Amino acid sequence: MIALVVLAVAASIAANSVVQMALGVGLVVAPGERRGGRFLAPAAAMALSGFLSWPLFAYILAPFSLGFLEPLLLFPLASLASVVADRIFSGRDANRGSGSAYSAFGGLAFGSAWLALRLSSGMLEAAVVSISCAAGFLGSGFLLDKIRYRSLIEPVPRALRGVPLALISAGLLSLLSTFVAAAAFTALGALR
Amino acid sequence: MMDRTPGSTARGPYRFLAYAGLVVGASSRLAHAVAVSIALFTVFTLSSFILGASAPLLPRRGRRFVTVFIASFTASCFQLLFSLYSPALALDLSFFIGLVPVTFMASSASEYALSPGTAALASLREALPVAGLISAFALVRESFGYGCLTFPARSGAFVILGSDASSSLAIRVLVSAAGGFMLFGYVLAGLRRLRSPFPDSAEQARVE
Repeated sequence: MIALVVLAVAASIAANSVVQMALGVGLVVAPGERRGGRFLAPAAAMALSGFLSWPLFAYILAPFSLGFLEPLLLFPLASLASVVADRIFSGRDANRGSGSAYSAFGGLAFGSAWLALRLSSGMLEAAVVSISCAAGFLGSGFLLDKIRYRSLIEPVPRALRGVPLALISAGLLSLLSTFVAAAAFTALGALR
Repeated sequence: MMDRTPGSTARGPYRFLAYAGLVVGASSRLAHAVAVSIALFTVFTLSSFILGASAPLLPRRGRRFVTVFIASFTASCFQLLFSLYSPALALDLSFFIGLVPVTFMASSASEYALSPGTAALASLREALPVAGLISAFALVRESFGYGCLTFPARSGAFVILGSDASSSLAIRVLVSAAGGFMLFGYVLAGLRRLRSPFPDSAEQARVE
């Protein structure tokens, strides 16, 4: 049980897709339409690609011994998962730009699949990692989106309004997540 | 055709947000930045060339998926060749080399329907500013963050500039993801001071 909690902390905070791996930043902080639920499709794609990658690479592709080139097949898988999630949650064909499902939502689904392969040793762990990745993205995504929006209406220096302040806040969140993860791992170590 | 979806970053300096994973992640060391820049040039140029050459054979409906596979394949080829030169660095950078096809798909280079040579050239022009930004970030982050500069070598990376004094004065936070984000934010703010309007000026007006 403690191992699963450690995995969840690692995937959602220590290796947060947005603030630690800088994936999908364009999707989160870029100026554009603020539409409720726009993070649902990327989060679903992250959960799906992370969950699918483990059995695919552990059982189906394992006999081919692809070695270190194996992870590069992750991108087509992540892209496919993103297109499926985009169709289900956004109700439209896969589109273009940094938010495109074909780019695995700016690499978010790719990063989730990568972490699931690296951190898991079974289906349950892969499920925990992929769901935690998606939850970490949703948390940091909503927070950064809110910071960007508030910076447009609060009295902050004009040059910093919007995206620049969201990026600087992402940096601070990144520092915070590092400290939170360190504290969480120390506490979990003490519990053991 | 311009992207109209949320998160579209097709114009202005904000288009670099689509490449933030590479810009923030691969620019902590100059050695990494140089290797990833070479990967960018190779994958962008080769993928566009193959796409241009095979355009008449590609189905209309699944064209984007074929592009994903072509970009992944060229990145795999680069990874294989690069690992022959420097296995340690190739292993270190396997995630970032895996991100290059993601960057290719996020850029407009994956949408060119031109002759092979023209598509490759246009794609190279698309990759150049990204590689330049990664290298410029790496020059700042490594020199101030580690107090040295490195370059790719067979054994991984060798130090081309550095001293004990400079490394003891280093600001380590600059080489972390946090430093990359902050630098990115301040560079965008600096650019805004120099040139305007930015794409979100319309949104700003709407909010006000």
